[in-house]
Amino acid sequence: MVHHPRDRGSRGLSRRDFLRRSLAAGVALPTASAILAACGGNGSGGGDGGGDEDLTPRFGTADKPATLQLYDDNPAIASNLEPEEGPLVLYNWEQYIWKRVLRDFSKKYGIETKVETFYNMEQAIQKFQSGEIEFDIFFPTIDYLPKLVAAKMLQPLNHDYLPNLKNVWPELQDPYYDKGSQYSLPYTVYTTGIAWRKDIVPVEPEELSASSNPYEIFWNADYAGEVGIYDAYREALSLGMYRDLLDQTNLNESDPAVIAKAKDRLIELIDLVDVKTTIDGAYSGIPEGKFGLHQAWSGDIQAGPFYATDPKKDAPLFRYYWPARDGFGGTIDNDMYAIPKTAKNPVLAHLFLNFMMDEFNALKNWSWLGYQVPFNVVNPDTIFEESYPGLEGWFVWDYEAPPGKHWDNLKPTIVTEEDVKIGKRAIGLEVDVDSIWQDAYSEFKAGA
Amino acid sequence: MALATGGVVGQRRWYYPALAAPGIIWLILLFVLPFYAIAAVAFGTRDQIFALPIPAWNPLEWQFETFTSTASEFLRSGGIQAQFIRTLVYVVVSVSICFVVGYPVAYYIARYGGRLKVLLLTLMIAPFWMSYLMRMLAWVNLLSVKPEDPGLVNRLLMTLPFVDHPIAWNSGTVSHLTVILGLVYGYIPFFILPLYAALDRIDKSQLEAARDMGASPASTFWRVTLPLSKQGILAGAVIIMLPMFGDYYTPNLMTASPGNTMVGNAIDFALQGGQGQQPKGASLTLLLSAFIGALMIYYLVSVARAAKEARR
Repeated sequence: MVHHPRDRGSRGLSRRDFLRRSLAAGVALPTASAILAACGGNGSGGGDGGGDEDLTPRFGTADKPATLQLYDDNPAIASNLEPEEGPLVLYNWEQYIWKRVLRDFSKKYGIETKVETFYNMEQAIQKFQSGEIEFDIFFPTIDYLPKLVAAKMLQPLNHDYLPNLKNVWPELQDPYYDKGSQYSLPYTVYTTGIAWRKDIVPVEPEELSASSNPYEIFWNADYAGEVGIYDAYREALSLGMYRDLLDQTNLNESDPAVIAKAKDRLIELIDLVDVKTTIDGAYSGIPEGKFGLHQAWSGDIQAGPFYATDPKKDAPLFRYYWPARDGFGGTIDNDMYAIPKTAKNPVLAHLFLNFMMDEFNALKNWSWLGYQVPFNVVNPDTIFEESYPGLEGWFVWDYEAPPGKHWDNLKPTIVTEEDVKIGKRAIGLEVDVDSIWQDAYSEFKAGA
Repeated sequence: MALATGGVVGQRRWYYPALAAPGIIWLILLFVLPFYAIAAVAFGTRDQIFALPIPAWNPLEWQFETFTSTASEFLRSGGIQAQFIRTLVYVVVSVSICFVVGYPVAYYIARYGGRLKVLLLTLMIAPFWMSYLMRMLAWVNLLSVKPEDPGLVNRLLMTLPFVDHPIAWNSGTVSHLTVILGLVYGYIPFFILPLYAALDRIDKSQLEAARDMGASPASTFWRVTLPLSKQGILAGAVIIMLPMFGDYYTPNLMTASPGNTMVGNAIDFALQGGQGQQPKGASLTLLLSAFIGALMIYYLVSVARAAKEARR
């Protein structure tokens, strides 16, 4: 699984999270999962499938874009249909959409909107597959999208209902993982970079930019006890790869030797800097001063002022750097919306997607979420100062900022369309290759 | 008359075993079936698209590759073997500390608590009305290292003349101690309570007899009290060892360092952190259960032997 910013699992809880989660705690062993009719695929990418239906997941890459399969027995809905009466049900990560925006949608169409939540993709897929839960909008990760399409669990989108898609960056209107956006629309976009507190790690982004290898900062013994990385196997091992290979890193590596080298790099961190593995270390650990340096999703650190003990004092100390902008290589990812084949309200679901492709609604959601939307209107040079009409002062980077000021040091957390072109992405791996990654990470986590 | 007696005997034969029915149903629903589900996942397969587990409910279809490869990992140095040894050390040291700290407390309450027994027991348990997670998070703050705002423990230590900077409780060698203290703090009342019950049951006349026979107070303790409380010690140790072996959130919360992870963390990762690793996680669960099962057998044999001796 490509780890997700909202995947809080059980490996680290923020103060805000833990009370709520302690109620819902408990590891549920998966009891049963239906055997897919589409089980014949071997998980590898590409292929036209010969004469029969192609049920092999197609994993697209920047070099080899994928047009996901369309099936005769899984058509898109017809155009110009009247919306259903709802309620519209979203199946989403917890706290990953602003309720106020949902309320706006409900008001506009006079229907009820509900949100069902999941903790991680596996849990979501299991419930999706078993039909345990019914919903109209899903939020899959990039590695699962081709699998869900091959299993005919998603329905193709009818773009007649989606004129607002034009507001999205052209790069993501026609993304390489789903050419023509046949099954998905982009939701949020974020980079995986380096976040730190200037008071603990006295370095400026310019210094990393001028260095020969910005990723080496994690291996700097001066910061022992202050360093954290994400407790997510793809992200963590990718950091080990960037350390040696920089821009030559392949996030979907299948060579066991390269993966083992990355693992050894991570193991070095244990003795060198006493590295911690967390999920909340960037979004609450850095703001609270528990960490001086942490691998970070841009959205986590963008919302940093909200989690700071004293935002006026702490927020100016936050720093974020994404090495890909200086040619060192770096990870980028975006989340997406999709409509399940079994949706009870497919027309309403299309209307909702179009509603969320509206500039104001999307930016309003971002202002609360801290995770950016990939819209043309977002000008990285001016969004801090000019905000968006009607949303002035709403954005999380303005949280507790002095009147008329913004936490400008968080500007590097803004993602641009160019970033999507230069960033590397972790896509779905074959089951056996994935096991190599997971075994390597388990070994690092064993602290041997 | 004889017939009537036979009827009563027949009724009694079913009456008392029937009282065990709720317990048996409970065990079947909440232990036997889930355990079988774990075995079915461990010996099952995965679907090739989502890599989700396909449990093998029929034992004739069980496949043992994942289980044997997981078991063989215990024989290789590093990885899971290191985690297992670390877990074993943490649990043994934690149980020993629970004994050293808990025995005097249980002894004092049982022997000298008098009318205050109930109050003392209540006070001891009071902090444990809060959730385990909440208490561990409280410790995280108490042990905080932040230089400008150290936790209470570091602030107190820094009043000592020889401590000039906050101790990094979550780093290096000290971090092992921190996890062990977390385990001790989390589980010690469950050690003290059965021990207290055992000590409270000791007939005082046996102690008086020892003293009358010329034994010193220390000798009375070593030769009478301690042997008579052995079952309480064992019961307390078993009660706290079982959850300690499966614990994964104490190291997560207290240090979050790979150098402190336990077997429970490996199971947690396999079940929740990865993709398609559930059969491995289930195999680890079975292996850990087998190990704990062996300890339980020792406990049960010991209890049976003690009961036999008591009947003599």
